[in-house]
Amino acid sequence: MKEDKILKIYGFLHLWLFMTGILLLLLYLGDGLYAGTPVKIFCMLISAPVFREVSMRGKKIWSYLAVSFLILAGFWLLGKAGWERGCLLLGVLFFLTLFFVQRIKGNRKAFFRPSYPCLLVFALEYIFALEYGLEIFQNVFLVFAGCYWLLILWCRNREGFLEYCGAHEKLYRFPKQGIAYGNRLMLIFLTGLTVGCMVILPFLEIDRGILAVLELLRRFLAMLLSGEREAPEPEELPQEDMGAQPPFLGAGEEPSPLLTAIWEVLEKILIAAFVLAILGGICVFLYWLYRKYNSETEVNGDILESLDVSRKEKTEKLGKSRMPRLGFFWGRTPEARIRKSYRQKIMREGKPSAVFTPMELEEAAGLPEGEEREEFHSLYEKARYGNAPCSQEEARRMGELERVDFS
Amino acid sequence: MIFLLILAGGILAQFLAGIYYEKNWRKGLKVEVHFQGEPIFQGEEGFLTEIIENAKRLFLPTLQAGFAVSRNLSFGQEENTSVSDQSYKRDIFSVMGRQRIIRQVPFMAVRRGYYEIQKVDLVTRGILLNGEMYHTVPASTYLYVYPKRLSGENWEMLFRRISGIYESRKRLLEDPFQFRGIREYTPEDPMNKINWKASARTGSLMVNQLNSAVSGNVYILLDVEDETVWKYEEIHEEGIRLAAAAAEYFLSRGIDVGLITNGKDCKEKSEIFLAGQSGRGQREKLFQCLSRIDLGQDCRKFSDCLEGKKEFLLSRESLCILITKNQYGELEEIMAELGEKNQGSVYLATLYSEMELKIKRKQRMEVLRWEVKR
Repeated sequence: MKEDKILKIYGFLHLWLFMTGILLLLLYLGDGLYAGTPVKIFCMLISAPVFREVSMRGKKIWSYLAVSFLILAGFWLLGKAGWERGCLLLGVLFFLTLFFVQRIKGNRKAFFRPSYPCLLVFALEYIFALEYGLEIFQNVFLVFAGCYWLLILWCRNREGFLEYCGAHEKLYRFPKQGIAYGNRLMLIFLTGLTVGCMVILPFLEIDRGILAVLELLRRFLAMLLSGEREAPEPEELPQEDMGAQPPFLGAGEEPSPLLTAIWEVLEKILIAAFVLAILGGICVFLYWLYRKYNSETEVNGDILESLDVSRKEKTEKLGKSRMPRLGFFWGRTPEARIRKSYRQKIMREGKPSAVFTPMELEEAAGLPEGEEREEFHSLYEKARYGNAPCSQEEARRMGELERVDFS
Repeated sequence: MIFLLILAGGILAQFLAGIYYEKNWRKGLKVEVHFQGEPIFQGEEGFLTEIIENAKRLFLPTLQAGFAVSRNLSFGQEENTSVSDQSYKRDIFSVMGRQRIIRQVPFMAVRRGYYEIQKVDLVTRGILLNGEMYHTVPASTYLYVYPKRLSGENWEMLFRRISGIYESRKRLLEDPFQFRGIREYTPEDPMNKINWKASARTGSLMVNQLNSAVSGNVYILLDVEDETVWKYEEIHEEGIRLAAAAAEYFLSRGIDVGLITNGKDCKEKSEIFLAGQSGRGQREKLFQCLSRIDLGQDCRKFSDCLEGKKEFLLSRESLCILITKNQYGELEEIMAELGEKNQGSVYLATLYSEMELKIKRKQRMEVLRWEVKR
């Protein structure tokens, strides 16, 4: 498969950045840094592709050895003093050995891909510069680390793009140009955002906040581990800050024995909870590591994956269908009184069937037909089924009708 | 610490961008897939339209739209389609912000049928083109592929015979109250048909011509049952084509045509029955019914099916045209009875050339053979 040119360039940049950081430190240690040294180090960027191309295209080892000799000689001549020469040659030898190993291993992509572990080298270089108070080097290594991060992003993106195109390129009407354009735009946006975050975050002084939190944690742990029960000497508060103390403790006043006892119990509980939480966290972390390590195994050519425990499905409870609630005073309304009177009169002859209509109920109760029964019936119907509200007069009339014998 | 903050900045940027993309890539994204409006005939070319609409500013460098459709629709671009039990078609788009992409995909209808697309699966890649995100969009589009049109000399001959049966059947039962005209006497005419007054006026014997009392409706009886475990799909498909052609032939002459079959509807899973009617709407209904017959489903014995519909057919005095490959006694008896009582019926046997035609012609039941090519 043909190698992508852009990926090749990213690979060279990765090697160069990696090597340059180390060389700069070595040059500083040996006092070999001069005005033209950065240019010479930059020239090493050219030597890397030459080594790579010769190692890949050359059929015999002699071509590789010849080119190596020429480049080594060139950099020997470029070097001003012994230490600078030595460092430059070390850089060249690094590339020489690297591509030689690639050739004999047959793995073209080995050491050629920017990766996150390489950031550790920049971190070490930065710590070194920080320890020796080399401000310029600190900044240089910070810039290198930022650039290297971007390089990783671009490389991953390019690989993703190539992999996607490789998998789908044969598709009919595959919009390769459109995808490349969209991908480019997305990468520009992501690069801008990353650079923005990298620049802004240090200016927000979050580090001070983090340091303060760490200091607090350190003190707390120190207190826990020292086993001191007595609180450290309270700092002398200025007079105006004394008002911030709890109201139940006056200035210089001794706390009550009960409060002290409660506080001691609470302290023990809190310490126990804290220790348990930390232990629990460590256990969970170890279990997670164990699960992660064993999440995928290969047995007899099959890939066995352990499945996560499915989380409980979210269920939505439907609200209970409520019957319309009757108000507290509903029993005293004219409608309720009318219905109560009707029920009482009907129930006098025993409990009738629940499926009867009012007319059938009256028949079953043995109420003889007449004007009074008609009035009795109509009042009930108005109270039970009517839309208009009943009056107190009608309720009173129903009460009278209940007591009257219709016969 | 600054070193860590710079790295944290990189992680934060990547994380935020990833979260934003994951949350928003679906918003304002509309995907529509639909077949052409008109049905097509088997063997014809149709087209499918895919519309991708991105109504937001966020662009999607890659968007894969995939859907499953019956493999009886053959998409020309094999690369985009993987065929197994169904054709799984996928197309890749690069959609910019506030953009609509309309893509028309031609296809060939290999077999008749009713085809649906019920959902479209969308897949996109993450912000660094790594990791995939999925979304399924419901779709509702369908297409009828009508049975292939029959043509050729054999076909014309067959229909000349069937139309002859239909025409001759009309003369068997003349209605004395439906006077059509007068013509000259021929020796075959009975004496009671002579119009004596017209004969006296013209000086030669003239006979009355009367219209038929037989109703002009035709029922196509389509049997798609396989008697044994051996499947004769090609024969049944040919039978369906014959049924479609016969229906179109009679409907174009304004004759009511109905359909009775033991084939089951691919969606409803019930036997198809279409009452006789005429007109263009009936043609569409009939073709749709024939398209929806699913030969993969078990169907009951056609003689049982006809037993249930016999009274109905007798009451309507229909000319019944049975299209079948089966030749058993019960079916023959029912067709003979229908022919006897309705003044004619046709038993059209669809057979391979090596198959023997066992059914014999009866007085009112014509037996025809249609050879199916392998």
